[in-house]
Amino acid sequence: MYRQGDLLFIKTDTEPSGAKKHDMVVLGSSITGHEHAITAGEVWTNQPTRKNNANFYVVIPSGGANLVHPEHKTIPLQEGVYKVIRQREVNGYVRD
Amino acid sequence: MLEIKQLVENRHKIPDEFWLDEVFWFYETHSDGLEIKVSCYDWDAERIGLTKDGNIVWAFDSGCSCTGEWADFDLQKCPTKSHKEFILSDFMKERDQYSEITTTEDDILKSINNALLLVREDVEPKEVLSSENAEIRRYLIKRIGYEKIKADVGAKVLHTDGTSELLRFKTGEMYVKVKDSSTDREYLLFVKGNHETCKSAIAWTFGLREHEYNPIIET
Repeated sequence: MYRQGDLLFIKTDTEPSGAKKHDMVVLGSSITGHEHAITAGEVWTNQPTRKNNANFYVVIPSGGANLVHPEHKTIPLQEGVYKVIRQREVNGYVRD
Repeated sequence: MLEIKQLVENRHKIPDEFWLDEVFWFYETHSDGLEIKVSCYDWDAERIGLTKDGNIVWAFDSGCSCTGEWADFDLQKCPTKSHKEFILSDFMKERDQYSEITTTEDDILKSINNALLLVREDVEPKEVLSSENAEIRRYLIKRIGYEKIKADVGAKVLHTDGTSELLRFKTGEMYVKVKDSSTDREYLLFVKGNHETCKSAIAWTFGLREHEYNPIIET
């Protein structure tokens, strides 16, 4: 289990659900332009709603990949599937 | 629209960190602005912003998540209106031509009032806590002072864990103060439940129970 900023990554045996994104950005910010991204692998996501924690998955290939963000230290991730949970407050609001 | 005018006239007071490429996006669909970001999940995702030269801009996402095809969040700026011409109801009608928008004028007004907290000099501590935007709250806590806010709202510290604090306010609400180890920013997060420890409250923010929350690396 790893936390980068307001995102928590939990290794899981579950297959990713939703649709695969075309890029490797897990979550970006419309205010700062900063992004949580992986350097290799896939990002999958369901359609998040305002009240729910977003359902993201990252699939890291053999050899691993890094989880990067301009303001946070890099976290190395080993091969596997990770469920990504976004930090929330009451009423489902999240922070940037 | 008085609130928009106030925001425009005081835009120079909006902190640099809230500007992105010369635009302050104070509203975004499926969020209260400044929160859920760059989303290509909804084809009608949109934003309303204020430019540094005082114009209102609007952008919407051209992606199409309904077919499973993900597109870049391309900003398509529609003709802007200066604050003097900006009439919210007219804006809503114009915007409705482009997509099926589900948001209301009240949603937008709420976001504007939230954004005004950044430029007002008379923000009360209780207003800081009522802000539904954690980044605005974070900025105002730094500006006003965390200890001052705690004293003003009669917060009781229930638990301390390193740089985290679990607070209960006189109103009964519970917050947990956390410090981002990478950015040194302090956030006051509104949590639900009857927590006894900071870890329990932080775990809740990730939808977990205290014993389930054990990150081996935190940055």
